[in-house]
Amino acid sequence: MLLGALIDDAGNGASSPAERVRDRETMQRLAEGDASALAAIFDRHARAVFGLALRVLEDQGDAEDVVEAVFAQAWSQARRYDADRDPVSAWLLTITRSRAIDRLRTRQTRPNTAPTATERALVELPDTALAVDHLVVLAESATRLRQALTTLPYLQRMAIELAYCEGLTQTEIAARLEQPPGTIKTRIRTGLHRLRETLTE
Amino acid sequence: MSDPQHEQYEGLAALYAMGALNARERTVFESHLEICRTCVDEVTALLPVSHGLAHAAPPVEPPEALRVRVLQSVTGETESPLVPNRETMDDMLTAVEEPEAPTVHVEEPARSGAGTLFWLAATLLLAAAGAIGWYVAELDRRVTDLRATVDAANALTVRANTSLAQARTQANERNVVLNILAGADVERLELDGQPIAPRARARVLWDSDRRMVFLASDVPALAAGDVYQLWFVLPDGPASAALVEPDAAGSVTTLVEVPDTIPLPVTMAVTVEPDGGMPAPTGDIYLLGQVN
Repeated sequence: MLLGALIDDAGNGASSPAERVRDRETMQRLAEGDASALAAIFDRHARAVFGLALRVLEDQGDAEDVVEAVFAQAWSQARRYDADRDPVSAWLLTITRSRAIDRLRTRQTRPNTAPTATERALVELPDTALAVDHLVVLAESATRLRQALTTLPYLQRMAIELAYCEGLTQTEIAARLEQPPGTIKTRIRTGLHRLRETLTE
Repeated sequence: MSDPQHEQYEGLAALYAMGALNARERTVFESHLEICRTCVDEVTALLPVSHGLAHAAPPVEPPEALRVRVLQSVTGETESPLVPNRETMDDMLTAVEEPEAPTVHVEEPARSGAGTLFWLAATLLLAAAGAIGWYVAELDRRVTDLRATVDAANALTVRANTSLAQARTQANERNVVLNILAGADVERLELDGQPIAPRARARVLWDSDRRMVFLASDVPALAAGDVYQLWFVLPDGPASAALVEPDAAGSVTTLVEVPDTIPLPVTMAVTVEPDGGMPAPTGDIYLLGQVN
């Protein structure tokens, strides 16, 4: 698989070129304040947005609040969306990650609410049965990336997930996983290269 | 071209692609990116993987109630949930109007006056709640606007920095090439096309700092899976100097690192080798420049 195809797929989620054109038209209507366009965008992308929010926050209520904030932002910022730069799914998921990490940090300032790294590790294994239950058809690259993540050694996967899902820096990840920063640097680098190799095979 | 200090930045490209450097580390690394093609290439290779992680979370069907809540609250087409105290106020209205709950201090004749005051107070409260709701919505909108701007700016910054670093690396290389060519102390070695590529011509130039540039023209196009390899031909055997790729016109301009162990001038040759190069030449010689 070519990396270019991965980039397209990664940015595009499970949508086809025709769906991307449809997304672009819907965003135009959203920018004009058409409420039915919001419903259409929600129906197409809420599964990915909710999935990512749940992955980061591991809390149904918090994840639902983030979904609401993401679509509120899509509604108010539709005019600023640049279809030539990002597919809608990538735009929404960037917002989702940012909002979810904000929420996570707010929550972590309250005591005894943040799961420990070990607790997170136990629940972070991607649940393929969940996807089947929800009859979700995934892009090949997304599935491969998910599978590739599960094959990484524990420290590599945890370091990458803490960086992505919690927005932590190398030093913060090192403290969380009780490892020297140099080890974290190596693990993230090795892990990312292994993911890339899997996706470009 | 790579920064001679590259080793101390080893591994930071992956952290940069993941956004896992703090502000100070990021600034330092971005300075290094401006002069290190190795790191630019690594960041460019890893960014799609880091972006792709957004799709690695399994999609989950949101509850139907969430869809209703989002569409109602966001578009405000029906009752807005931005006035969260509405229910409480309804409860209050009901409680006060209950005939079983008159306050003992209120005399019967005063009830109509108290009722007027209550409605006035209730009207003011509702107006205040509406205003607060509007204010909260307005604040929320402003924060949302700011966040979107920051998100977009962050995404653009990473991309722009990567493109800028690539452009600067190329510009720096061109500057080095020009400096070598323009130097008063430049020395040169001509390489002639061999029978397999009679029209090909090449020239190697170096200055007193041992900075070397290899220029070639009319180099035949390569078959897929092949690469041209430049060699220093030493008395005890050839040593690889660089892998070179001609552009569509068959021209090459590339900087060559010259290890201290290589005496200059030195005989140089170009052969065709399998992609990735070989430890010793195995293919046909396309260009040869001998030191007399």
